[in-house]
Amino acid sequence: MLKFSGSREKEYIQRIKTDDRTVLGELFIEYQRMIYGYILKNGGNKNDAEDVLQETIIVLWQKVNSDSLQLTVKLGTYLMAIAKNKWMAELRKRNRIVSQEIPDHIPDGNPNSLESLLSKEKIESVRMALEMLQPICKKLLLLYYFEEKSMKEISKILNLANTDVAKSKKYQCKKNLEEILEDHLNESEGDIE
Amino acid sequence: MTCKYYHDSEIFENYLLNRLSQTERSDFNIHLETCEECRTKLEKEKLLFIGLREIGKQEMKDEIRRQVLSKQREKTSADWGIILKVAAVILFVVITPSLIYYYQYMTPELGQYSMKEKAPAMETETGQSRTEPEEQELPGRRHVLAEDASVNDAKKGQLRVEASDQALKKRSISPAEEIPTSGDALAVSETVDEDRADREIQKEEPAAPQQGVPAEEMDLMSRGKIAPALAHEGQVLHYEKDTALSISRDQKSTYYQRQTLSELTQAQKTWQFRQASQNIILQLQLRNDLVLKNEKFPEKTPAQVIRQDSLETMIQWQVPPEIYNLDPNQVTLYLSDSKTLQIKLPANVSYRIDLEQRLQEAVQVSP
Repeated sequence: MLKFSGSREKEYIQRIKTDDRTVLGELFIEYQRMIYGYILKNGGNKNDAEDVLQETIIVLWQKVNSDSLQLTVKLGTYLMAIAKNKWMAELRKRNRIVSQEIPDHIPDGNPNSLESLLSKEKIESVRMALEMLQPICKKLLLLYYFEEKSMKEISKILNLANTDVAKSKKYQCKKNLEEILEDHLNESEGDIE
Repeated sequence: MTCKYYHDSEIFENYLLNRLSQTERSDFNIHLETCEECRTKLEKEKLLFIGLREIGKQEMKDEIRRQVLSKQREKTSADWGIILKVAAVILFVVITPSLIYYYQYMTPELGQYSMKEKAPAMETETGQSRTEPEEQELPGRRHVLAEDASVNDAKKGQLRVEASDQALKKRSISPAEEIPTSGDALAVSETVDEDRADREIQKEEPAAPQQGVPAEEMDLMSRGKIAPALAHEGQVLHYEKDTALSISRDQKSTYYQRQTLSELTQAQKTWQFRQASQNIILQLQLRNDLVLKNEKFPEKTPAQVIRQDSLETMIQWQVPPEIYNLDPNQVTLYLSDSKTLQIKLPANVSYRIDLEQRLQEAVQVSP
């Protein structure tokens, strides 16, 4: 459970929980100065800073929705910790060293960083398969796998009757996606051979 | 299929979403080591999971970027709204006093012209340009100037007697400067002369009094330095350059000046000596053949009264370059009687002109 002081911070969290997506841009502007300052001072440029801040907000969005983190620090401190971890990982990937020690290390609890392990080609295959699904299926799968919303929230967002309907719908959508993806991957392998 | 996990799709999802407890995760990891089917299934689940998350991330990044750009645009337009409001206020604050100033000081119908206050606004590098409103307000303004200058210029002439020769040379005006190149260019001539007069007024009389005669002028009059009229004999008249030009807008003077200017050539210039409303105008005509002999001015030079009435007397005087180029401020006119005009030049040189035209020449008077 996330716990933040400050009414403004509570408002942000509440808006994320109610799927108010307009909070994304507001969070970016609110914490832009702080995160940009850190990235620019530590060998990054504006594009790096923009990327890190966006990913930091996405992590917050996911954490709030998955309801998987207990924290009693200020939202800014939490976001800064995520941003530092993200930037450290990026620098490690670039074989660069940050001149300064990163203080206030707070694990962001991100399930994994598997995204970067998948080739661009395979991600494009998933994207193509996803686009071939019904819009409601695409939305549902992204809400569940990416935004980590619960079935209850998903049923509310997608105006489904109840959680069981949402689960059933998810099962069908996922199955369709797997089939389309498998066909596509088989076709691709056949083309290569 | 004996595998207890294979058909439990949720455990694969929860494993990837890091939602398993430590014990559950540990057990599943142990199982994966021994179950190839579950490892294969996990790879397929992972592909889907990673692909969806990557796609979701890209879409959310795009969404954040769009929102930020939109908010920045809103902020910019809001900022412009504020800037425009501030600009409008500033414009109002600046324009309003300017308009008030303009109508109060620049428009004769609405305000009283103040030469002292107007001087800075009129002063320009060339002094040639003039706006329409300024043109329109000239008659009324000239009237005031003429009255003021009639007193002040007498004072100036008196004070300038003490000027050095060097200053005299500097102030001498060449014929080309004084007279327009074309004798027919009447309008241009007037404008040039008027503008020059304006500049002279502004430069030399910044603090000219507007009402009454200051104590200094009263003192000069009491000492007989300022002659009340031509009819008064034994009076000294002083060069009245500014007034001579500035009154050109007066109805009578305008007519007269047009006549005069149209007759002028490049080798002519006018000196006007004035007291009150009466003038003596010396129209100098350059004669290079009238040369100095033994550094002495010629004994006689042609001079002709070409106009004379109760207010003005105009004399055409042909002079050598040495007189032509004199600073008229160093020249004094003296009415020895109602019929004889004496022109006193520097270095005790004087010429006498018969106003009744019995002699059409200026005769040098022995010191």
